[in-house]
Amino acid sequence: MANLVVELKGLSYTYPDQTVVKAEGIPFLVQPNQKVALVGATGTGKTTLLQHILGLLRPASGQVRVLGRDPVKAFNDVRWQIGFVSQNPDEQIIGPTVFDDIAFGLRARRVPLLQIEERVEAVAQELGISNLLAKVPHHLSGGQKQKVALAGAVVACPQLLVLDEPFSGLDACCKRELVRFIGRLNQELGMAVILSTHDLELVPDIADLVYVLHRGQLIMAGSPAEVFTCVDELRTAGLEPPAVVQLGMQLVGLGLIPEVPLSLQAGIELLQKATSDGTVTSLLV
Amino acid sequence: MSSRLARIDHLAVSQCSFLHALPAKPKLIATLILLAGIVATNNLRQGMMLSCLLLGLLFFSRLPLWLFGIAFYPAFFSLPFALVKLSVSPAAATAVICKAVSAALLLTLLLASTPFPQLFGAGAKLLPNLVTDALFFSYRLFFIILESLERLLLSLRQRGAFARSNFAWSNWVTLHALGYLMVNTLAVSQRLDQNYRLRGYQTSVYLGATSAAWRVADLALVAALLVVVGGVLRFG
Repeated sequence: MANLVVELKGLSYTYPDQTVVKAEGIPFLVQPNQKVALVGATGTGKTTLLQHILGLLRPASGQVRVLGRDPVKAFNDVRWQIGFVSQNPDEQIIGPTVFDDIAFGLRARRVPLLQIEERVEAVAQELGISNLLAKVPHHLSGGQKQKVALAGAVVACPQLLVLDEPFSGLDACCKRELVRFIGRLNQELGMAVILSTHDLELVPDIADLVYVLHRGQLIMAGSPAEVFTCVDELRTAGLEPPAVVQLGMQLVGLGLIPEVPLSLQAGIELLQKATSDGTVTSLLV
Repeated sequence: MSSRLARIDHLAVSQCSFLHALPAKPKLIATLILLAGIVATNNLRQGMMLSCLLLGLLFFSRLPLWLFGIAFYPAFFSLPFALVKLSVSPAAATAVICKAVSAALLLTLLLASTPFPQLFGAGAKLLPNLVTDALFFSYRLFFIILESLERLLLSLRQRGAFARSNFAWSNWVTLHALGYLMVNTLAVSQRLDQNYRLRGYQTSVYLGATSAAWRVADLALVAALLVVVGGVLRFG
């Protein structure tokens, strides 16, 4: 357990207006190279939990370790290892142009100019924003700003990428692009990813471990398949399982398919298989 | 007014004209020369000649003509001074208003033709980092707050918050909206600070868009402008 990227236990934080936010129950653990989704209804404290990981809040009680260190005490060291994309990209864009913004973290690390240009152009190309490099960020669309923020967060190849509700306000195409990009970062660079969301539809595509936060308690942890099939618990936590999972559970109940699919593609494949081996036909007859 | 400011900013980064193509440093120096000329004018004819020069720049740079309308806002504030000058002659009073409008038009032209990174970059050479960064962050915050203000005004209008017949009610709503906006600004500032610290902000934002060397054409432009302004002041 010594090489955990994030270790968070029995967290409790009191805001100045005396609102207490907790994340007790199961410990929140993130291994290197792991993609973790933190899900919960709105207002359950997902952002507060992420802010503790980022070292922006000091817990009233509990323990937070990031890369084996206290992120508040070692803020100046730990922040170089973390890339962060906030809910509102406008609030994290620093640079006067898109290029300057993406390059900001590299300049702060005093990376040579030539390397900065190469890295920025490579990331911009990956995200399809090469044509925006000379633009002023506040005139971009929401999706473009989100991509710029993500590019700025990952350009320095941090060990941990933290995303707070990264898909809110984005169209389906943009969401899929970001999911693919984050998946590639995780696979190719071994970057651990933590993202918070209340929209479960994309979670199976992006996460291999899901934590459910409800009323100050981390009530469930497991793979998307394990968590999403606990429909009653999810609904108690104010969450609705993905539509494909709900349909899949009905089809499993009817004996049409052997397992619950987590994505539309997996569902189609299971149905095609069931059709070709005659399961569907025999049941219908 | 706020959305006009956003449109000016957008013009500066999206338009393409000879004014937009000029580097920031020669443009700033040209602005200072013209401003000095406007301040030094002492009769209506000189003022009108410089105003015509600025209108020509506005026309040939293909910027929208409503920018000229913006330049009339300071005319209102120059009215008391014009009234004082009215005792001398009507032409002297008109010259005061002409000065105010010309100076405003000049700065509007500068803002509408120079992307803000270039302006702040040029300023960074003269001012301490802290001051440049404070100005830059205020500028970023302005556009974030602007969106919030526009959403707030829209929702207030939809909910019938402003009634011409009920002045007290409208005032009460405006005060509450301003209070909300102030709290929102503080919250956004705090989040900006957190995000900037996370991204490694320590002492200065890189504003490097101004390192272009002077070209012969830039020098020629500044020299020509000196001759024109000198000529207007000498013979006008």
